[in-house]
Amino acid sequence: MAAAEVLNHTPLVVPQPKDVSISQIPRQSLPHQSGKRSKKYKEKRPTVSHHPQGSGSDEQRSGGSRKAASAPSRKWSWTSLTDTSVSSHPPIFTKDGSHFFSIAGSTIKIHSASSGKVVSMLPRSQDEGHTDTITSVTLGAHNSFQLFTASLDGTIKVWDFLEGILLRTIDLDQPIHHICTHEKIKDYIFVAAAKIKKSKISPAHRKDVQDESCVVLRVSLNPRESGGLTRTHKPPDILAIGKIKRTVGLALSASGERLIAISGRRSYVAQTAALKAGFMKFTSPESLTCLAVHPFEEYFATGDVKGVVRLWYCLNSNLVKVVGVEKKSQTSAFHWHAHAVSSVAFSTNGAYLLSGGEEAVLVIWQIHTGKREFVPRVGSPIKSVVVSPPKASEEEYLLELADATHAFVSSKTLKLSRVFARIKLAPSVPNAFPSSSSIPLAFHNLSETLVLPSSHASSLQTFSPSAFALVAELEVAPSNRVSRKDEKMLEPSRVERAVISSTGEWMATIDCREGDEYFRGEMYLKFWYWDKKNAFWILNTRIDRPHGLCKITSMSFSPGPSNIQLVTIGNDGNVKGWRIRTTKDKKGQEEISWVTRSSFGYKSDTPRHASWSPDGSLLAVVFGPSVVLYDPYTNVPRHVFVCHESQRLHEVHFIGMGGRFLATVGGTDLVVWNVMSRSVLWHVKNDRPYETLLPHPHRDAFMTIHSSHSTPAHAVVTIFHVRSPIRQMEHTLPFALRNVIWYPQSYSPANSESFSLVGLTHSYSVVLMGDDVNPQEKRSVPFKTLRKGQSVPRKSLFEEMFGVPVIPSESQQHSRDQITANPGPALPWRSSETASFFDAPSHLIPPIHTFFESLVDGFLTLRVADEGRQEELDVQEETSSKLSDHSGPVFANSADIATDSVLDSLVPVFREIAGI
Amino acid sequence: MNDNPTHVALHRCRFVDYPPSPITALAFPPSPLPSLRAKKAGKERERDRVQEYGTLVVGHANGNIDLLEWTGEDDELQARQAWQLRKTLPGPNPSKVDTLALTIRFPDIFPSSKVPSLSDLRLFSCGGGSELLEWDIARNCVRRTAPSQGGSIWSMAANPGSTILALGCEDGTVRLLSLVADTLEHLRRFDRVKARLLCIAWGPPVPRQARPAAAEKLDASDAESDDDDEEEWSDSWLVAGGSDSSLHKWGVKTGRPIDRMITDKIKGEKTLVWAVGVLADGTIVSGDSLGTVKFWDSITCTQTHSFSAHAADVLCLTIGTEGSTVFTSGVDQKIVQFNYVSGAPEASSSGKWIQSASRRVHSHDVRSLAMWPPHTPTPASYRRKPSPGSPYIAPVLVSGGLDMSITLIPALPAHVTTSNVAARVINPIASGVATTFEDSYYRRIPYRATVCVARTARLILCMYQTGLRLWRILDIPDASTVIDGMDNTTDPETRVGWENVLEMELNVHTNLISSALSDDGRWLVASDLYETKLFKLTTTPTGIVKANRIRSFTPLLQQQLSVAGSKEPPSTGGRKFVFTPDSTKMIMASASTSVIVVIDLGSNEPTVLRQFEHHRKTSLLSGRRVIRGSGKGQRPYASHRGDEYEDTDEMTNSGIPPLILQMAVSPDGQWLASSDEWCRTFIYNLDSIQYHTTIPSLPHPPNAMAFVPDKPQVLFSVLPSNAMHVYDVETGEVPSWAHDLNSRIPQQIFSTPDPILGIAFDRVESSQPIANGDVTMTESPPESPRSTSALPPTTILWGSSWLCKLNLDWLGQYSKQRKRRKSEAEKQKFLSISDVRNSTSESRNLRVITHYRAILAMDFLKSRELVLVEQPLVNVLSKLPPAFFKPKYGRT
Repeated sequence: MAAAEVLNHTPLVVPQPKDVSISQIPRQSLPHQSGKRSKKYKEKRPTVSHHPQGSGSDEQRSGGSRKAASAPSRKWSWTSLTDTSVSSHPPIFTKDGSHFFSIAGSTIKIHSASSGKVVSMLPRSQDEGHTDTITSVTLGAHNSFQLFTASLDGTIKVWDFLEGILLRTIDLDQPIHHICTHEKIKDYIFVAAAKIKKSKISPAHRKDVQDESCVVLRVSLNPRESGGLTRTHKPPDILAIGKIKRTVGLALSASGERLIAISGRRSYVAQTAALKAGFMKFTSPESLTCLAVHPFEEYFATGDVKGVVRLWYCLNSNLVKVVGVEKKSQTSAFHWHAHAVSSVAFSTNGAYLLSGGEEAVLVIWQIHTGKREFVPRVGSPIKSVVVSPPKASEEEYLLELADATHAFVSSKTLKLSRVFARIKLAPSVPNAFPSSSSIPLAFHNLSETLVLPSSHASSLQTFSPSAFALVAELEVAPSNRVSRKDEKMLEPSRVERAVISSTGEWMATIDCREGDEYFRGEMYLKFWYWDKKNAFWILNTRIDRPHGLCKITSMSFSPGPSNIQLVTIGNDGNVKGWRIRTTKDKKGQEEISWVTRSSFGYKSDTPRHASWSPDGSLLAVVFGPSVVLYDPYTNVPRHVFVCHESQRLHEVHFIGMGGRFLATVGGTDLVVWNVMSRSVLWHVKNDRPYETLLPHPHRDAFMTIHSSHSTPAHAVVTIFHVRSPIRQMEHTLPFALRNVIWYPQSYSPANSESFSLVGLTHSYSVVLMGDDVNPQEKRSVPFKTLRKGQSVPRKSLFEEMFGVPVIPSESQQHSRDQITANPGPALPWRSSETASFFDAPSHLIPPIHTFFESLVDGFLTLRVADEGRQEELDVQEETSSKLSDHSGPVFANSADIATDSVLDSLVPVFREIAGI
Repeated sequence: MNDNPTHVALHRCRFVDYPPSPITALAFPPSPLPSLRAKKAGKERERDRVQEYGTLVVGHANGNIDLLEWTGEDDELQARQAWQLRKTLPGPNPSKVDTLALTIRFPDIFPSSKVPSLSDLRLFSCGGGSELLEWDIARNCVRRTAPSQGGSIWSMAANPGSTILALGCEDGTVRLLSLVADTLEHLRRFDRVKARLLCIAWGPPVPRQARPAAAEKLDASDAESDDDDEEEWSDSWLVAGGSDSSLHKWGVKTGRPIDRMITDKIKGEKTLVWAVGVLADGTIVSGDSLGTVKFWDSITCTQTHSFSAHAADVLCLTIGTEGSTVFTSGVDQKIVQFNYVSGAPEASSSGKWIQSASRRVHSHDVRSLAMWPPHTPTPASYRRKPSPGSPYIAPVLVSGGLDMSITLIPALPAHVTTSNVAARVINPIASGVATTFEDSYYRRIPYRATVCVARTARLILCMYQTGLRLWRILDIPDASTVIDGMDNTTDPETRVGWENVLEMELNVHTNLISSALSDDGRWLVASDLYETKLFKLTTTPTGIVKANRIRSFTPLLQQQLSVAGSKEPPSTGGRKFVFTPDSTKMIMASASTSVIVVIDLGSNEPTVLRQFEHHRKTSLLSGRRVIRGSGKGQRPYASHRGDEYEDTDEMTNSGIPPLILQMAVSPDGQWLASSDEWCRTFIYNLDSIQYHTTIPSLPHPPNAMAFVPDKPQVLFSVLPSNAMHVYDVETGEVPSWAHDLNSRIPQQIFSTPDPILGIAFDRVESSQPIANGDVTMTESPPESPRSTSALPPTTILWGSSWLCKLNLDWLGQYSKQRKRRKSEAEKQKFLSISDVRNSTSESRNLRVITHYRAILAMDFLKSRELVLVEQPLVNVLSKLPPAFFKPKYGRT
């Protein structure tokens, strides 16, 4: 997904020319369907344990309204920032390697291979897409611009991905798990479909069906109708080859003579020339997990659950069927992986085999000798490995990681060359965040980024929702990335909390690791300073065991820029204050660090939660059934509110800008006090225990979250006003939240009445929600018609030696000229000649001093001094540079931020350009 | 009988620190080259020939060479016990075995369809020095030695035709020794290279030139036979791996180095090529100290494949039977299999080698690998084709190394499972259905030790390589501490139950071959190949044991044994010693002459009472099987072998007496049984000191023999296949109850992979004479220990890793009527006792206990007091240098 269009924000990331579609700007020009149809291409489905299809917000909304009986209840609009879970099917490249397709639920995303950006999606709005998860994708055998997709909904769809249209639909009426094609077998497609009973199964039962056996079919593609028909029809010729267990892989051998299927502990081989004979079974010692076929020799590779990569040389042998004898293939085993292999792939030249798995290490095997090389620490467990097609300029390996990241590994350097990440949220190890621990979530207002847990528990990531891009990753606790020792999961050190001060200068994190028989537990409080220059967090102070080894239950910075304090509350019964200490070293330079300021308790009660009054003059701490107000400067308790309604309060918050009200929740009770009159304003008893309470930063309103009565996996958000215990609004969200914070939408006015939140669900998706969040608009996908023959610009010799020049090459120049020819000034530099100059062989170039000046002149840009046009020009430049830099770093920390209005003003301009 | 479990006190002795010797070399007999002369392969193939298994020869680091014979009986293709120790060739002390070579003695007349037996073979060994040893397998000693003339011998290989032995020497030369006509002569020397030759292999033999012409001739005139003296197969080249990171190839005709193949090197270090092998198509396989296995084309001498298969040195290599597999192993303990993958049938592309599977079955360095059936490096067209329908024996990979146990792995090439013989594959060691190398279960052949228990003196004797050690088991102080024999965990006492009383180092010429201790602990005898040493042990009141050698014993023996015929001073070595239970007589089987000497120890000086020479006589043989009751009985017990073998056996064996392997004396001291290599067992009466009878011979020499205490005339013989045979020596027949004994014994005993090493009987103290065969037992449980004398003795059978208790009540109890219900008893797999209905006592009849491992010896000290000498493998391995270790992902 291209960055700029997701939210109405100026991107932090510089987009690239070919990724930004021309047609995207006149959004209205597209046939804009509403309702059910449009939802299909908007992946706003949360990854909650929901049925993949039919989880669009429309249905949810309607469901919510039905329920609305007492309170004004409706669905909040919400949108998930994260992808759906990563498909186990590897992405595939187009024939020229310029783009690749990845499966996202029931849609196909088309990424640019050079930038990783989503340039298009299938289906387009006008076509009917799959209604269930896509399981397999393959390029057409006779036309490599056709894409076959198979889905659990029982259909195979054929797409023209250049035009983005659906060509035909083959309905097999059985959930399809795998399809494969071969160049030599043009008329047929091989399909592994789940075997189902005659009765048409309802979607709810489909999960059970997946465990059942599969049947491998040969389906004829005989085009009785000419292409371009989208009419669903039963294909005329289906040949069942054999029934096997649930397939995990299906492929045709290099020559197309054998069909290979793997499932469980068997691999099955059938001759495509004599399919009637059925499969020949070969046993494997372990359950197989993945399959790859050698590009030109007759053998294939599998990976298994024990981490062994195995090459099978059973395609040549004259297979004699002997009943009752367990068949063994001549195999060659490569064992390095300690855990299951999730993907194997052959390099284009057939000499290397790539494998990846949970270890997050790409292993490159030289097949001939068994020697191996490693690309370690790719960041997250590898889900799939794909090799770029031979036509690409340089062979690259594309890794799809468990955290939905796409990483390219250069085959020459064996280093990660490009990493395209969105929010990394699937934790790499299953128990990274046990439900008992809290998950860090914070918003940093200086950089407008969200601080989220990363795929590894000891790291945080900063994500810019406006740019829709991952900005950086911050390793809070150094840790090794060995996931398991033998079969036991290693306990990683995990970041439990992160808070950011209101000024945005300081962040405090808690990371802890539980002790085991070898090591003591660890608990660190770390203070990070925001380095404005580098736009990154720098570790300032580390405090070991701030509350002993006891869990820290609450942590908050005092508001306001001056006299900043942090208060932490631990299970050891102490409330601790931390302050900044300034010391001077010998050279007279000031050093700041954090030290303990005070530590106090109240009776023998364990504190639960603390919160600051908006002006920072009062600190409210919950101790058991009472709320104690402290003067934060003197630590003198000013007042004690004792809640008679609830014995165990767990949260307290000041409500409103004035801080005149206190709201506490404990169990099923919600109590609101007036701080001035020191009296209970009102009290509400709920039927479900409250999970959390969140005040509105500007209004005298707050919201509570509790789980839904009917479905515990759903969260109910209730909005109250301090004035009355009557619910102002009640929203049901189709997921449960683990952490939620206020999300200041910068485009909305500061004193906005509306709610705007960001939350983390139990399935680690990041959800934006609130009154103003309009998923409809933001999720629209830029459509771009892929052009035939469009390819990655080849690097010139110069570029290979010195990297990509600032000066774009000629072809790009042309495209940009097209864009910018009309409005006003020509480009401030003319450097195409200079760039092409270096294409000449170096020995033909005259001595550098003879042309240095003219060359440098070519590079230097001439500013137009026209003040009036300056602003527009700047924008222009910026956008154009955005458009030109085609392979710059993805997470560029460029600080230039254009406002909405500027963009809006540009829309007509671009319309003009596009001639619409 | 009583339902109460009988409690047996058990001394679990782990103090015996017997160090078994690491295995350094393994060899199987070569398969003879197919005869070109008689190329009537078609007819030959037709003959349904019994698959035979060759002898496994195992060389040890202490110089001993073990000969292991297949335990399956003649018509059986499977044997769970596989190969078991038949005899040991004692190595000269000090010495070691580094390499072994087996050749066929007379290859030109040896039938190509037969598997050579020991008598057809010549065995060569060398142990790091410059001497090459040829062994006399029949006499158990070194036959001749030959100097290498080129420094230390690093490697040795016989050519496929068994006519030339090549030695790779320290000085970089290959020396050829001619083996023609059972000789050993220096033939020639190849040109020198500047490296030690660490391994050597012969190229495939080339059939006599102008073969097509010969074939035509054969077609034309079928009956014509070429009788020219020209050799049928000639050798063209040989290859040796050196210490200079390269392999050298010599032409055999010219003796000049033809080519050199250079392996990988690390900077500054020379790679040592430890192992080399040649396939039938000439492909050279090498393994080196970097852990790489390389395949070379022999014509161009270029590398075709290279696998970094091992993490450390590759020490050994063997080629699979069909030549489509190669196995390597070495310091990293992994055994790696390489497979030949044939190319597509339609494409002209030839196949390639792949590294297919690896297994780790050893805890320490693997020093040697061998394959049965062996690979014959002849082109496929000359290879014998199996007759259709005949079973296909899965090849067995044998490996051995520093961890002292031999491992057998069925190693069927994987592609056979998809070929048409797949249904007929047989696992020869019956370790499971899976026969491919990757999946099959392996078997171990454990090591053994010579341990002797003196019951009355409560002493344990253990024989070491050159020394003896004696321990005393202290008495159990109180009856209340008598513990359950089945439970070893309940010994709470802190007292030391044993003491080391004597350690002796003997001055020997070869490693000790035999030793024994008399029951009263007064006499100790030990022998190497050449001299028997007799000691008189005296115990001082403080418990110190002193040994005084009886000097007069050696001249006495010399005097006796010299009568046996040879002029030179005779060797007085003893192969086997037994004492009579009253310790007044010692019976000795001489090492090389197979004479049984009965020595009286009762008087002041030992005197020879008599010597028997029955084992030296071959006249009692008929088809290698003794006919039952040779003089009177007419019925042949068993005669499996055809007549054609008989003649050759007689011929080659003439003049060399078979070795006496086992001797046993009955508990009352009346009977002596002795058995030899030729499976003959003679019975002597020690009261009258006379030959008594000859027992019908068994399919194999027994592993253990014992007389039953209650009925001292009944002899128990246990074969290596765990089959038991009983013979009443007094009446000279098999007792009626024992006719179908083996079918009644629980199958569990036969299925243990470790053979029975010994039988121990619980001795009944005051034995009322039990009449033979017809005493019925009282059903009442015994009131006092005294009355247990009425109970039948408990038999303990033990192997290296298990022991089991069999109740021998059937000795007296088995009436004829019961016996007719044999089939029922067999079905229920139990040893019939008096109470068939009582299922609990049924189950108690056979109880296999497997939690003692590596049992070296076991015996009853007295009734209900058992001593078990155990040496856990961990104890042995802990003394070895640490094994090669490589850290792994996720492991610390």
